[in-house]
Amino acid sequence: MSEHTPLDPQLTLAVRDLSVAYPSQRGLVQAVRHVSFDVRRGESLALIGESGAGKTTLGLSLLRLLPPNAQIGGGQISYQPAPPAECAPVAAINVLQLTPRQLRRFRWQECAMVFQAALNAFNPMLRIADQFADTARAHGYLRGRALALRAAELLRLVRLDPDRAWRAYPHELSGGMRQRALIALSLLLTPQLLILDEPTTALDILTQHTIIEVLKDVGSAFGLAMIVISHDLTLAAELADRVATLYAGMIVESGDTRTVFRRPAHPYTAGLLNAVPTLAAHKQELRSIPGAPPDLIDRPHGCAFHPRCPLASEQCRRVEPPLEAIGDGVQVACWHWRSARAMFVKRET
Amino acid sequence: MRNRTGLIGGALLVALMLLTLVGPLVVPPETQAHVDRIYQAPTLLHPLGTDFQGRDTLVMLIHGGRDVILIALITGLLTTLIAVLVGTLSALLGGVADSLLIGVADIWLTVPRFIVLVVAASLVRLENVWTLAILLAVMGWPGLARQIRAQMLSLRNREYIEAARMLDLGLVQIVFRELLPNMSAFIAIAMIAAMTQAIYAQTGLVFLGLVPFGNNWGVMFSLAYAKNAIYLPNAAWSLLAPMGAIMLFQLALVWLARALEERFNPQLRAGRPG
Amino acid sequence: MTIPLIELEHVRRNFTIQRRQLTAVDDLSLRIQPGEIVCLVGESGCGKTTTGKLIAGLLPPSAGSIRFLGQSISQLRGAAYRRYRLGVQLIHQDPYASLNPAHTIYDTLAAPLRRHRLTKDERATRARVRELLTIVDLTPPDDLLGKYPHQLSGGQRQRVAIARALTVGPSFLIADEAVSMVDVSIRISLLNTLLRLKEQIGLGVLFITHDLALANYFAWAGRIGVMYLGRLVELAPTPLLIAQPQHPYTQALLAALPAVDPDLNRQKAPQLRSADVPSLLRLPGGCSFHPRCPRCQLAQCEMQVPALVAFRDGSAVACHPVQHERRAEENSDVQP
Repeated sequence: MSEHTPLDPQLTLAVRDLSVAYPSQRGLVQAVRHVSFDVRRGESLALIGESGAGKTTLGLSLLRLLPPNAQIGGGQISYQPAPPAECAPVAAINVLQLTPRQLRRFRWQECAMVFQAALNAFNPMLRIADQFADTARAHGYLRGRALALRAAELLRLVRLDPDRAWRAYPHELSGGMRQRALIALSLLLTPQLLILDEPTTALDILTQHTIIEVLKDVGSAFGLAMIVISHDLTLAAELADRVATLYAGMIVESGDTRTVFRRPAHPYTAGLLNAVPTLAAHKQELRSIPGAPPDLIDRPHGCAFHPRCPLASEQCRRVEPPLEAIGDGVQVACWHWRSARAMFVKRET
Repeated sequence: MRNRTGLIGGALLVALMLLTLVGPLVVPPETQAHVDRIYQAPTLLHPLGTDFQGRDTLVMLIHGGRDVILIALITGLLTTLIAVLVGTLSALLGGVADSLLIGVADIWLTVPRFIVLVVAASLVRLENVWTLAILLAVMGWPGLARQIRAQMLSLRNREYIEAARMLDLGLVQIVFRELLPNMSAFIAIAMIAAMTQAIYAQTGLVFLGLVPFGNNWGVMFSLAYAKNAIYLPNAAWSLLAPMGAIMLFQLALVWLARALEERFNPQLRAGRPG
Repeated sequence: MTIPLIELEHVRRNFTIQRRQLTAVDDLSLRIQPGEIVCLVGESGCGKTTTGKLIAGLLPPSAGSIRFLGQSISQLRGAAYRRYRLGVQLIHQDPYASLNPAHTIYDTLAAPLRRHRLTKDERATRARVRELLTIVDLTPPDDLLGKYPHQLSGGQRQRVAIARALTVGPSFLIADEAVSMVDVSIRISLLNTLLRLKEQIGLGVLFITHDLALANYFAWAGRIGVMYLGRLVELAPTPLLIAQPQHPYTQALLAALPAVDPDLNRQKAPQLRSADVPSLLRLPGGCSFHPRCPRCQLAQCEMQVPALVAFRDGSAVACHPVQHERRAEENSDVQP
């Protein structure tokens, strides 16, 4: 494992200046640009944004699961495993420089990923039991009866009936049940960091609620750090301690969830909040964000959000605002963040 | 890779067609035997050598391609036409009609095609390009019809077809304006497949001497083989030339089909969100 | 009292899957007035999409009757059938599948205009297409006429789908999860377009969704119907349903809605006994909700299917304990 300057021991993951691009017919798609963020031990961070914002690419890059044509343009992903004892020193792992063998050990044992509950997240030809066995075998983990016991424990934790789920094929389980089984599988080797990509999208309200409860349980039971990638702001509000808004492949705002959602400093975050209906929706002024997501190949000059921003000025059109700390643990990349805060329609609850 | 293969395939096809359809108008045919020139190796005068009767192989090639290409084209068109008709009717009518039509196709598929062709050749005089083409089409439509039907059935349930039904656009219009255009790539590729099939069948029949054609590539090959060309070194050219011509034709078709497939698929997938 | 635009009476729809019968919609009765907005809410498998298809005439009912302006749709012929067929249109969920990929936007919108001779000539057709695109907020329309669906975003495609539905002058639109596959920030504007159409041309809308918050927003002036395993379990004007849900399932749905304000104090509904929905192939006896229901106390719940009973305040519930309580308060036999 390659070492470098030890990180703040409170951090599980530190991403610095990460950029990822894909070559395409029309040009280079810059899916992720100079992204930096931290995830503390046991903390959950939500990455929110809409389709095409680069969230999934970012998630995949953390585990180096990108397709072969993806180009990592620079940056660092540093992961710090949990210290074995209270004050024992721990070397940080530079994920981007792991060898294939080290990478295999990193994936699933230290960091696991849960994809959407689609039918093809599991191998449709294998029973759930076999999928668990495959994963365990690939990492030299438990087998046979010991595995079944451990798996049953995990399945119960995610509120699945082990007897029913263990011998089932994926198509025999509903979307919500598959999602929970996926979560259980990801916890098999007790990772420290869990990345979830759209865990509740396309699921029903009650199922979503169950998944959220399950994730809360799981997080506290294992002291997991979580990164939740989603376009659903309510999921972030329920689950995440901190939130980061992505737009056109960059983080435009980040901070404590409560603060960001009550007083958003970036017009895009404010726009998203204004577009989400709650039960008091009829009393609010709900509005969509005009325009469309930006072209990631030919992005606008200056601030990528300016074509759709009600506060856009000449400066916004020419110069890209840097991500800056503005107090209360919030960082924002906007020249007019004060106006954005003032403009935000207070939501009635 | 992309469309270069298709371009080459298309160019090759055009070249072959020019050679065999326009060539005979320009190059005089070989009608006489020149016993003093048999089995010559390629020279400037005879770029592909001469055959067992001293005739220039290249000239023979130019004059011998017409039948092959015409049969391939006509058979391809006819097979596709019948298959589209049967497949579409079957898929859209459903119920008893569907079971009946598909049942016929299935049974027809189990019949060993080549044997039937051989038997038919002995019963009917297959001297006309059209007769052979029709026969081949009649034998070849079931496989394609099943594919067309499957494609229709899957398209039939697409949302935009449902919308067309709700807008009461009418069955005829739905078939011709909504369904078939979305299958045009499929049908084009299928037609090319039918053409390659026709070439195989035709060459086989000719090789076995069951088709009394005057001169074509298959005949050249058959005669060369019968005259023991494989034992004589220079004679190999008279054997390889027609074989090579047939192969080139097939290759051109296959490349064209592959490029068509590549071209049509990404466009349909381009809309999917990332 | 006007003739309802759409009326369903004890409608049932069965499906046969691998030789077993499944009842996707059971004993559904509903009246929708012209220009009214109704939302059907429920989870997957509850039968709301099937109901939409039944109303759209894409599926025949296995039992019961569906009426359009008083006439049973299965018996309509000729001009009357055409009035129904063009009067009720459907917007699909998937914007990537609802437009024919081989046609330009202009072709897609011109086809029904030409087919039904709704415009005089080509110039009039062109003008009408531009007009329709403007009505659905796709401006400037000329930018889109020559484009193909794959060149448009999801939100734009849905608008074209709405425009296409409008070409034939419908009086009722069924939006089947029409915004679920569209970006979050665009959903509201699509719904606002539909609301505007309701105001401007008196279009009635049936909005099918599993998102109760969206239903609340869209149908605030209308009604919400909650479906569970093929049955309508509660039907009430939206403000009433949201403020005072009566059926335990509705209460659970409302309590489960995640909110953007993490500190929001929501009414804690009694927990459901199981997180999973039973399969439609093995329905529980009596009230199909009873195994999960926190209020299930009566033997009646396990044996008798509760009917949807209406009460004077305009709400209707299918739940034995609730009905007993409320019947004690009032007597009503008003139809929903």
